[in-house]
Amino acid sequence: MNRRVEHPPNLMPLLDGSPADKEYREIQQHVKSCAQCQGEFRIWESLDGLVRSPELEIEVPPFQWQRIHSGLTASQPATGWKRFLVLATSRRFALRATVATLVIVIVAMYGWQYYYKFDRMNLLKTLAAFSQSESIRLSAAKNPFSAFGESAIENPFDKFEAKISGKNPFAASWQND
Amino acid sequence: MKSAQAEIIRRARDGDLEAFQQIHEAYARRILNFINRMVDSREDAEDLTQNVFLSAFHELANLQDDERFESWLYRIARNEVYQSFRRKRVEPQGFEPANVEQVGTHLPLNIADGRPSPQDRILHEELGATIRKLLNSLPPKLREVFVLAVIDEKSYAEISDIVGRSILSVKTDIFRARSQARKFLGKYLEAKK
Repeated sequence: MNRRVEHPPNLMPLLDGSPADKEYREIQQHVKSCAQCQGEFRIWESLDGLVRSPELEIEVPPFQWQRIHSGLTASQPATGWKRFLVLATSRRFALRATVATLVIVIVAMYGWQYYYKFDRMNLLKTLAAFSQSESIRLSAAKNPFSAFGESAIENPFDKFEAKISGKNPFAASWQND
Repeated sequence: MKSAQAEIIRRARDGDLEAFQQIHEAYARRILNFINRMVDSREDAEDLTQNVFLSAFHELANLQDDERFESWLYRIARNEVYQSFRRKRVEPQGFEPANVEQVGTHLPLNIADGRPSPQDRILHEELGATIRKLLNSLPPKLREVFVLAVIDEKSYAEISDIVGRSILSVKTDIFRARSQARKFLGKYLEAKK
């Protein structure tokens, strides 16, 4: 009985992947039981081994760090407020600052409008209440001019008239005329 | 270990040059060799590595995730490599299709023994030259994923993060690069069988 064997088209995941990957485990399972794929896999492994040959490995030059260090100290990174300035001029910070400013402006505009409306209404209410209370108070209060009523105050001219009426020397002549 | 690295990165971000020196010690060799394989010039690789670390120090404030520091550093290195290609205003070397027949026609290597004989040493040097030719024959797009996957042994996810392409595209490119390498180093592989 001939059973057609399905070989994985790409064995690379077995070279590059990790056993945690499903694909890796599936290929591994297959390679274990397939001589043809085992041979193929060995070739790929050898290829990687050749390419990893240390012939091309180079070492870091001894003074590289010194050069980097002098490059860094020449343009010492900003710290404290200088760092803030650097950040403030960065594109990302500028974008965030613009968004934050827009939000603040919008909130402030709405807030002011609301406050203004609220305040005006409050003022009108206060004025209405004040005028109402004043009218009540005024109507209830005693009229200060009522004290100048006829009975209360003596007319000073009344006395004068009474005083002079009896002794007026011209009274007779006036009467006679 | 991770937290120790995070602490070093945090200190370097705050301008601590000693901490940054530790980062340089830990990564300089890998970055230098990655760049060297990409540009095939030791002098250029050294200069570009220096630029990578200078840029990294200044850009550390923009690093979002300390866990992905290495990928981030490789990304800077890759950008430096591509900038150097652009500066040179020439097609990156390697578009001349390598003559597969001419490569690897010499005696087989006896790599199984860890200590190479003087004859093997000569052959190793020859192999080194052949691998350089191989890398130069790959277009940069394939070369970078090939170096990252095979030599630096990065995962597909890391490579995808570094080169900014999908994992599927990365897998395809690695397969293509390996197939080309297999043709190129065919004779050596035959010898190893």
